[in-house]
Amino acid sequence: MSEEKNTNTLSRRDFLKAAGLVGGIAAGAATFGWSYHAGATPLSKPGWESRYGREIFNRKPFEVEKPTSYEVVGELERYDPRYGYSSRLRSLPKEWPSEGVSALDPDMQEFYEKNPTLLEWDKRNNYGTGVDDQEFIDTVQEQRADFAHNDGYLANVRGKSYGDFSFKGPSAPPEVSDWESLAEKRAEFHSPEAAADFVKRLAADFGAVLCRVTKLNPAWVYKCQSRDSRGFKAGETIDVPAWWEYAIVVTQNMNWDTLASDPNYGTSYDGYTTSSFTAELLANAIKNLGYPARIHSPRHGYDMLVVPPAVDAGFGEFTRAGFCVSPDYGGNFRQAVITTNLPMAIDRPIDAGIADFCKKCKICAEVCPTNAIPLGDPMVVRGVKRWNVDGSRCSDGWSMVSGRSSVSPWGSGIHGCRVCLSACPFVKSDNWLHNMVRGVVTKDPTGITQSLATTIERNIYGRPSAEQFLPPHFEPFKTPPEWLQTDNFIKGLVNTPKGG
Amino acid sequence: MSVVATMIVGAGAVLAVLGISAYAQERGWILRWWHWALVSLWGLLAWFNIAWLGTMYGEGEVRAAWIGFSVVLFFVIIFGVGIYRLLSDSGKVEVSTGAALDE
Repeated sequence: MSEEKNTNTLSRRDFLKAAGLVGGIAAGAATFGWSYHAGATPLSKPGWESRYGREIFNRKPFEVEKPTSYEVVGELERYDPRYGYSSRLRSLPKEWPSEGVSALDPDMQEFYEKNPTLLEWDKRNNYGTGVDDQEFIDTVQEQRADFAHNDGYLANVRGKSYGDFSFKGPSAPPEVSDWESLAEKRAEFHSPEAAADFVKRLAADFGAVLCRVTKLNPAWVYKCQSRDSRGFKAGETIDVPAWWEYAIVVTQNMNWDTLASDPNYGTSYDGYTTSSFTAELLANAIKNLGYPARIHSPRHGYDMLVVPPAVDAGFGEFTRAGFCVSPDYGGNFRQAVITTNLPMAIDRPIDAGIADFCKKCKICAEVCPTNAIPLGDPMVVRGVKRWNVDGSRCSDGWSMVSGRSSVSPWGSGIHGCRVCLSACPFVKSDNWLHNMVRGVVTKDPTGITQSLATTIERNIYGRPSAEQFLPPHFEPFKTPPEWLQTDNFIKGLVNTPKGG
Repeated sequence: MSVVATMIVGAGAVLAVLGISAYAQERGWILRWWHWALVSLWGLLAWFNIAWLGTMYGEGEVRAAWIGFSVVLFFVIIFGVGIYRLLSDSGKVEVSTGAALDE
């Protein structure tokens, strides 16, 4: 029996031999895997990494049938830019009438009856006092002008240079402009999947950091334009054309360092300009394939809201601060949309727990210098339950913390705030540490790691508080990069000689 | 991590294991598998702490680098002392004669 037992027992030597064999095979396989990746990775194409389709975050496991970060609770009502906050405030009388809402235009009466919360906000913002008091905003412009001519000079040069790059949006209605310059021959793809694959690959080649496709929900199209633009008369109803079947959403990022040093040193114009550039190239390509296309971008103008299509296409989720936050870039991107009828396989929205994270986090709302971002729950806006940013307060923040564009050395140019973007915990670098945290918080169903991550975020970085962004402090969120610190390069400004 | 850094970390980890093993033998400790598991976890925590410091410094987040490092270092020290005491209390053998090993 003892002999039988001995033959059935693996000896130490046999174990080591087997382990050595397995180890050798594993090392060989790992070496092949690593070396293949080294040859194939987009990271081996310096300068063109994202243009070779590099994606940081795999969205597939998080795809769902319907977006979960907003909820349709009633009849969807299309956005009417005539009732955007700036148009509304312009239409209000200098003093609030004693008769109340009944003294306003019938259109405004109807609007405020439907949106009583916005009436409260507009009365407060137009007639109230505090950080959103216009007199207060006016008084800080001199201080901001000083910043724009000195410490912020190079940041303004950068932002304005992006802004000076010109784009020409459509000047005719869709039935004309969408069909202009189409190729004589139309390309027929093997399948909708092949078309989507090609479009995404081409978008990457044109510089898109991400490109995804969704069916266009007509409810996201503006009801009309607020002024004569893009071939529409002001107030003329936009009939959604039948060929606006698909929305191709492309994005480009804003510079990470300048975004981090908002509100003083950043700009949205890098993201605006590059995403618009990519969108124009892609729209040209779709027309060259023989399909109609129309650009809706920050620099060409829009006929639609672009955040909802981005959410529908699975870029990210609708969040407390009103923008789409993606798991890989946070809110650090600007999106553009191309509408077309090129048949393509569509992408699904994602549920990566970002909106749930937003419910607990609230950091953006806490650091907002003008309290424009709600600390409370989502509200119903035009049939959609979602968080709603007070646009008027947000705009006041732009004027206060960064100064109106008129205070720049050129009398025009950039301004803005974006502190909410800088502060969002999802706006983090692509490295092992943040990718590990992203991986955990998007998969943890208990919410424990989300709470832990938010607590750490709030306590270890030592960021300025909301008050410190306001006059007279004007703190940036983070120290600006060396290359945007004016004193490092410029000794002074002199009058530019005229002519040769 | 780059390939070279991975190789250095891997080689260092192997050397550390050999060193701990020799130290344990010298002291006559009998290390069970779960002792090694605890030591590995401690090593991972220490590695994470250094990697945190480097990454945060690299991102320019000096304050976060030192706060995080200090907090984790506290646990690294506490756990390190605890694990050392656990190992030193593990069954001891007579190393000088080797008699206990032969039994």
